[in-house]
Amino acid sequence: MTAKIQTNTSMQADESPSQDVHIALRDIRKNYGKAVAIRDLNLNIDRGQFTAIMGPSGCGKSTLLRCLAGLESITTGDILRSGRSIRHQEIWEREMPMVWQSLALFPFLSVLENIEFGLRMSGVSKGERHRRAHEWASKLGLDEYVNRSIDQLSGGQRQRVALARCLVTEPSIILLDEPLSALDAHLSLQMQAELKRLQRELGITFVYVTHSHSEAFSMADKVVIMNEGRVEQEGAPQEIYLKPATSFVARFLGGSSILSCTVKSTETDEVLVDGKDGTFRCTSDEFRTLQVGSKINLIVRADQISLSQESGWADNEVYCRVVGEEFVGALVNLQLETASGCKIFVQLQQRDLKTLDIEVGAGVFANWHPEDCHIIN
Amino acid sequence: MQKPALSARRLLYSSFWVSPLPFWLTLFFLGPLLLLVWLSFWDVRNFVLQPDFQLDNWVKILSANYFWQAYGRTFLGASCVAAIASLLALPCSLAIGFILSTRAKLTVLGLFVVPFFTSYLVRVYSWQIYLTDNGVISNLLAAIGLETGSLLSSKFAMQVGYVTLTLPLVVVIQSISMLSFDRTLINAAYNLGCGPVRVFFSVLLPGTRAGLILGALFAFIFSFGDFVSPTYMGGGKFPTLAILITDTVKSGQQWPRAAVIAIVMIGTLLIVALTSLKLAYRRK
Repeated sequence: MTAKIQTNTSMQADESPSQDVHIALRDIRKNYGKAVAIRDLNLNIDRGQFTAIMGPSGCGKSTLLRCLAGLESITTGDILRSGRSIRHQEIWEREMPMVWQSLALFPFLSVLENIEFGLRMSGVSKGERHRRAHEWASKLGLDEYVNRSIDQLSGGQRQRVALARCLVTEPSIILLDEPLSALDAHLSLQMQAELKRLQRELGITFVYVTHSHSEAFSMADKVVIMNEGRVEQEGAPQEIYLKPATSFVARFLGGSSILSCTVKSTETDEVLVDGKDGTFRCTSDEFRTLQVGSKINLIVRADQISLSQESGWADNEVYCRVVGEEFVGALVNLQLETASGCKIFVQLQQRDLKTLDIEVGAGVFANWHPEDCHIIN
Repeated sequence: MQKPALSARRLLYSSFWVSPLPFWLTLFFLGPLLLLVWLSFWDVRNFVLQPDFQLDNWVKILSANYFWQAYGRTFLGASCVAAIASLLALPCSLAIGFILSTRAKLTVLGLFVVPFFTSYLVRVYSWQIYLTDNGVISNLLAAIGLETGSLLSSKFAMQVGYVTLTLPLVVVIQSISMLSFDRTLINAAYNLGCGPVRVFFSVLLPGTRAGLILGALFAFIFSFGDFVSPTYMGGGKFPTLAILITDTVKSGQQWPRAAVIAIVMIGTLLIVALTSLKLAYRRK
């Protein structure tokens, strides 16, 4: 059955991958007593895609994953798998193996016995499950460790055992709940690459919950950003990065300056908006439909703002004071503040900072082009 | 990796706290044990103990039929208690570990500690009210047409006594291992296609193995050496090793032969305990 699903996936992927919905969440609501964990959530998870669900703590992302796995029952709404409702399916019937944040490996079983657990439960014969468990152990580089006990493994090795335990049954979908959060940065990066490679090779659906931007953006085909039990934005990583749909998303991802403005004129190709710190010119399409007098939030990404000592470098400029700087490798993240107290984030190359000779406390002009202005809700 | 050497002050500090242990162990365990071994080679002449070194006591006891009968009875009885108490305790510790609210858990666990407040002898005596000729239980059974007479002085009564002694402890030990069991493992097993019945046998039991084995071990140890239940519940009709020891001492001051029996008992318990511990903490 699994093999059939996989061929389907590859066929569909050639045609229109976005139309092949594997899991559809329809008007999901989850209440814990009076507290609402998930409110009226709708989401499609595409077959064979890597979907990352992210958001701050308490946004409902882990609850959503638990509802998918059947660990929590949903209060209202429905979950469809390939069009069929699985709302009333028991956990052990769902065939959605999960990589747990705590890994939840069985300490009383050896590495091999852990990997073959799912096969044993589905009644696969001993020889066959040994063969398949060994195969997966070797795919994930665990050959030498199969007879060890779990507490004799390192963090990275345990991670692989947890993955192998999920993948050995050849499921069409696996769930991952912050699986890399316990690893150190170096190992986490290595596992990210490996997870992405595995997902591509196997062509199965990955639903990956994380609070880490870098994990979500480096691996996912689709990123879903949740807040207070709702989906704030979903889309390809690049799309979300370039155009955050809401100010929450912009703030959550960080690195964007948000200026509240009023539309002043829409006469020409250029729309003029009035902010507390000046008038800005905007030319992107999304401004065309605006009415004069309406209030908007203008957003500019940190990498699209340049700095200068003198005025008149670009169509939009605002005078700021540098209040903070943070060095990240070859890049510098600067935090500026306008006269009205509005925060402006700028990302520069280190060498640009040197030529500009800027330090904390200095005054500087922030400049950006009219086409780099976007509207946010 | 080499451990860093403790500084002199830390060494002094830790040895201060550690020192009572070897002291007490020597004084109250190792010393008496050696004395017991030595005593087993003594002689008794005209009801008087004489220091000696002869194997007569060992030969007499180990070749006596009545000794091996008592040994078999005691070993089997203690094994039965270990099994019965473990089975009786299991539903209870499962409830404490997985079903009850925190408050109810503490209350129930507290109730299982209460029996330790009263003497075991008192608890066994109170059973006599239930099990005697005109006791509550035989009257009840008579009401439905089962004439049992006295249930006392039977193997059944003896088991009741042993279970009275050991059950609370077994529940507490099992509960501790249930409470420390990671519930995520149960969800992980469900998630991998394991239904509730198989979760019990494939995850819960193996996962709490240490507690289950240790509970059974304690039940075995306590009932193996128990003197109260065979005497007051069994009416002395089924001589166990504990009864044999008192009889041996009473009849002709045979302390050396009693010492032989005691050493065999200690040896048995050591073997059982070490085997159980090995089973309980065996690594895969």
